[in-house]
Amino acid sequence: MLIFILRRLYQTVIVVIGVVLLLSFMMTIIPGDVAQMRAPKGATEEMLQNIREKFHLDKPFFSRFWIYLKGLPTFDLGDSFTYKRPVMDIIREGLPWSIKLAIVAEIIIIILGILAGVISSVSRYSFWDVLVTITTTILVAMPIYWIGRLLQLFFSQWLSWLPAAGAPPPGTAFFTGLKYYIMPAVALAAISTAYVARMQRSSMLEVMRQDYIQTARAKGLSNRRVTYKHGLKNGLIPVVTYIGIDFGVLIGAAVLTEIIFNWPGIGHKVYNAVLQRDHTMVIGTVFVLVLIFVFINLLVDISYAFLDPRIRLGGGQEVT
Amino acid sequence: MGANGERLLEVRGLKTYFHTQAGVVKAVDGVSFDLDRGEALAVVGESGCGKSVTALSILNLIPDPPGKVEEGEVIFEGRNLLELSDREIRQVRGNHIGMIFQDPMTSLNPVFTIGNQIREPIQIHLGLSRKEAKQRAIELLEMVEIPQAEKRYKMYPHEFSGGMRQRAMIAMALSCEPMMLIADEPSTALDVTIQAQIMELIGRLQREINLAVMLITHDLGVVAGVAEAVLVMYAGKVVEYADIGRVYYNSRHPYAWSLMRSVPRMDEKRERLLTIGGSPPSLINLPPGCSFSPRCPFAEEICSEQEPPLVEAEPGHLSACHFARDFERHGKGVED
Repeated sequence: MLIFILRRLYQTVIVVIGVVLLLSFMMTIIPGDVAQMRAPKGATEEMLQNIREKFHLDKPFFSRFWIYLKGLPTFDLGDSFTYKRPVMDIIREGLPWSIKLAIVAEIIIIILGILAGVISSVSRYSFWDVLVTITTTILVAMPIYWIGRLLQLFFSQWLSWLPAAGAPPPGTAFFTGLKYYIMPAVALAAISTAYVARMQRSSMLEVMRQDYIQTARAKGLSNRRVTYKHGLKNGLIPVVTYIGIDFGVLIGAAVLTEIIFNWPGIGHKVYNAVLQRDHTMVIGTVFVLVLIFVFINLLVDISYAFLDPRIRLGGGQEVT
Repeated sequence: MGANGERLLEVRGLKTYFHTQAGVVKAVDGVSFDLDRGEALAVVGESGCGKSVTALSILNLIPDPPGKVEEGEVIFEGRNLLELSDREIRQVRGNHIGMIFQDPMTSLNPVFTIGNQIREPIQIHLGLSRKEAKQRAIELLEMVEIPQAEKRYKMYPHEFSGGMRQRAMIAMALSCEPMMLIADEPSTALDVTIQAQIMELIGRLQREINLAVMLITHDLGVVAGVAEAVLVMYAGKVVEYADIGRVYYNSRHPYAWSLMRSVPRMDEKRERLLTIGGSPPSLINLPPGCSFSPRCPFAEEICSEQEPPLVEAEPGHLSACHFARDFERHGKGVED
């Protein structure tokens, strides 16, 4: 298991360097003179030259890349020129909000998605199954910004149950604060919930056809025990993988949700940074997101091994 | 067949049909047989002849839909199993009747330990505590000759070989000391040497704990060492039912007769093995008359017109052939 984890960590380093390289390159070929955008209006050529030197913009691509890489191990991600502060500070402010939102969304996905999937597989072709199928089809087809706007319209504008946007202000009590999470989390969770429900359904249906389910029935177990002990643990394996990987996506890809609900997470910040050609901010944020994503993947692989004994490494030699 | 023992199971006129889009598949069509305590009965026939469906019908394990037991009775210890409630039949399954399946590779749940799976019926049916059930499970593993049972108890199915898994399945099926074991092709998926070991084990347990065994197989060699009576099935029906010696040496049905001549035997010299031409009929569209008539070497006009009833060809020997009573005379001409 330790070797497995070490190998994964080593793969992570390569992935991260690759991503940073790709991003730096992409940000370089975007048209527009970065020095000019950073300089105040009507700056002289001399001032521009100073800026170029200060931010190493006059150096070739790979030396700039090397300078940047050297800062990464200490999380020195440079300064953002739009916010005029170190990138790492801005990420430190925004990331907790993004993670908290993703956690609430993930809870919704796990509870509703798995429940809906299991219910519709157990009573196949019933009213509930049809309901789940129709709902998930609609959800998958609905863009997040539309769901978000609809939620705001219903629950905030018309019903005034929930705050329209924003994060809970400092000092808000836990349950009052939770109100701020509901709409953005639901919008963020909608599509993944639908996917999870469908995956869970088909994976359960597949599992319930297996021979060992017949064995379990022949042992005289109740339907409930057959489904929820023997079926569910097998049926969860693919779904857990998806949910885990999706958590990384929820943190990083909440850009739309964070803009619609004016959520102070890093998605919002990175959106502004792209508009401003704020290289250091964009690359720094993505670097942190990639780290999180890869780390979560590692956790998923480890949890996978707990669910499925066949992939527990180093434990299995066959006995004859 | 064994008339001396105490009757354990009586199957009467069992009909199990599958309602598919292509039509009604008559997988089991009027099967009757008996099983005494401690008796071993072999159910023999080609793939798709209804052997497994018969076994699953006994425990009411037919997936519904599409399958359904349409008619018949399964009297086990005086109760008709087909009329029991869900709860009642569950107390029979695994408790009074154990069952093992063809492929031990897929019949065990991959995500639970062997111990966990053997312990389960013990805890549910016998109400033993976890600790007591563990003790019993380890004893069972020892009974089916799994070495280092205590260590194996904690292992997962993928850490076992095929033969070991089938032994574990047997331990699981016998965990609640059932009176009857249904073994659905228990050795088919295994290596030949392992096959013999598993059959030996089943035979030994049958004698030692007076277990009634219903052994489903398409391998006649496997039957010889274990079973006392043989039920030969063809296209969902019983075609011959007698003591093993009678079916082997004095068969009264052309299908069983051909089957016996299609396997090599040590005690007889034969130049060539017999083959049965053609393939089993579609169970949706059975041929008129005797289902076997299109493939039968002795078929005459009457065979494709009238369905032969299951008659007593000699005392204790049932056969569904128009020529069952003077089969020897009828068959001689073809054999030579």
